Amino acid sequence: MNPKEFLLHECENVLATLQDVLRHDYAAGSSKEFYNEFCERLNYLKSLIDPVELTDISALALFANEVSVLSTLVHRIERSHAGEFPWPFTEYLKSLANPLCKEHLVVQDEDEPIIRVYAEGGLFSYQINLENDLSVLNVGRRIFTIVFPRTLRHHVLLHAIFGHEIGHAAWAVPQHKSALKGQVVEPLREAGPLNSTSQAKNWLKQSDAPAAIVELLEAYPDEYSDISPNQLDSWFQEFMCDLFGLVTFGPSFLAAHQTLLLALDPSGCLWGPYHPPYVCRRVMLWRACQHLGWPTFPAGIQDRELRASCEGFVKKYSGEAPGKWEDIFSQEQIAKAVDALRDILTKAGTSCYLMPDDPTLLPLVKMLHGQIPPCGSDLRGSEAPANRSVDFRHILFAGWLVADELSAQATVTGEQSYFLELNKLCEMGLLQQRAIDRYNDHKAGDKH
Amino acid sequence: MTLLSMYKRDDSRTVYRILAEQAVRYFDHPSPGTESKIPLTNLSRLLQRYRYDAFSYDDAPGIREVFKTKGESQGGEYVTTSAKASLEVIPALEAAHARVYQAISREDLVGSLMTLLALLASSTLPDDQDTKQRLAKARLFFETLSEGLKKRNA
Repeated sequence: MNPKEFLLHECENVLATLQDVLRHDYAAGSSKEFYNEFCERLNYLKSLIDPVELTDISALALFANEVSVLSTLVHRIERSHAGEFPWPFTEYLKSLANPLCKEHLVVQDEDEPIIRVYAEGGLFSYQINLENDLSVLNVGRRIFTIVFPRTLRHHVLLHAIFGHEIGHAAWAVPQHKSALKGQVVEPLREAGPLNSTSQAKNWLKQSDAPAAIVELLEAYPDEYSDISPNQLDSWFQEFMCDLFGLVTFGPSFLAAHQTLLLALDPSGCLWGPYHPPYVCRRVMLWRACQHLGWPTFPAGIQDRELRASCEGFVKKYSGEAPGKWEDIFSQEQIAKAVDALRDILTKAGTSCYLMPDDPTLLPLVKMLHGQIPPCGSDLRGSEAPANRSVDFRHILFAGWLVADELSAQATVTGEQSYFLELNKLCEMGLLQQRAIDRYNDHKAGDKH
Repeated sequence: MTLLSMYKRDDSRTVYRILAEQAVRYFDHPSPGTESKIPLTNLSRLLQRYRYDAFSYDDAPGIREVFKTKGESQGGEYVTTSAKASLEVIPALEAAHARVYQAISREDLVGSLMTLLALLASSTLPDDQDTKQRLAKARLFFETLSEGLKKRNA
């Protein structure tokens, strides 16, 4: 079997696997769209492989990669078991991501990505695979694959971290990338220690750097003493995505970001080719919160207990003033970037997070206190219940407020199961809220 | 250890040579529907990248990454540690732009070409003289692009 024959054979294998996979009810929602897109890709690829000369090495190498990409994709779908991740959360996530990720290409009605979901092992697995490689030939509608950590199946409060990943998805659309680069990233890059690689290297060696940074430089001089231009580009993309998460998901993102990233890197000082040290990301978010006026939000809350709860939240996640070394952006830089980002999102049709008022937030928190899934259900017992639409992000915020109250008690008792139970309640709340929203939408549609 | 490891290549030159050749064929023999959808869609993506100067590989690496330190063996099929710009296709695009459309701006060029690609993908191709001329010019653009990418391939 020569390379071309093998590739054609493997195309048949991939098709057989696809048909086998979709016989099982792995994933609700977009299976038909996925199947159609996948078959179109496979047919197109076969039509390219068929006439290729065995001497066209570059084309054969490219086609081998293309077949491998399809094989990987079908395997991901095979692992996409409906029960392994929170469906209601995923549907809300799609509603935020879809307007942003819509491409305006040649075939109308087919320019939204197909979004699929699967669970993966490991705490590092939160990710969106974007099909954003220039050297891939065979993409009709993009298939975005959202990856959740398998063990955090019910932890919708932590899934607010996906606000960051939507930033990467938006970056994959050239029109948004251009705007984000020029209006959000550029203000961040124009001043400060990460303005150039030479300044960045000096910054690492500054005398006021945290002790953990000094230790890293000594222990791993090969990896940690250099910062390349590509690395800086990636770091700024990460900063942008963190702002993206904050602006789209609100306070829940702040809490999820801190909880997950500090758990993975308790020093907050590690960095890599893509990600800057957490301590810098945290300070940037602190400044963004100041700009958004969130520290003064609790003062406007009428209910005394809720106000105390919000004050506790603000203090915990955005309270401390930054240390000098990690404070790499000025308030003016952050203000410019955040305002531009909000403007870009609004134009794209994605709603930025707005802090809730008392009448919205208080019932959600009270429901959680009563072990009831938080949502806009009317529980007054009236004959014609008036169920309300509630932004799903307020449900997450309420969840985090109660999580912090319970966390204080758990510290005394040593019992940590409250967090899973709280997440399950919020997951159920999202599910019920979706039903309410659909009912209200249909009702509004009927009226029109 | 996996069967094979390799550094990630920039195949964009081969990708767009193939797509541009196909576009030329569709200009000669329009084939609306699923057959032309993928190549024309991908050419539109290329044009969008050209319009917004968005030529780079941008991975979404998740919330944190773990890389092995030097001295430890790397796993996986590909090794890539940073966002790399893909620049090989740009000179060929610029040359085709300059040769066929001269001083027209990138934005106008891309707008015009995408309209024509959408026409090709649809089942309604107008038969008037103006459209024929615009299609002929667009065909020359993609022909020049594929030739340019072949030359660099040599």
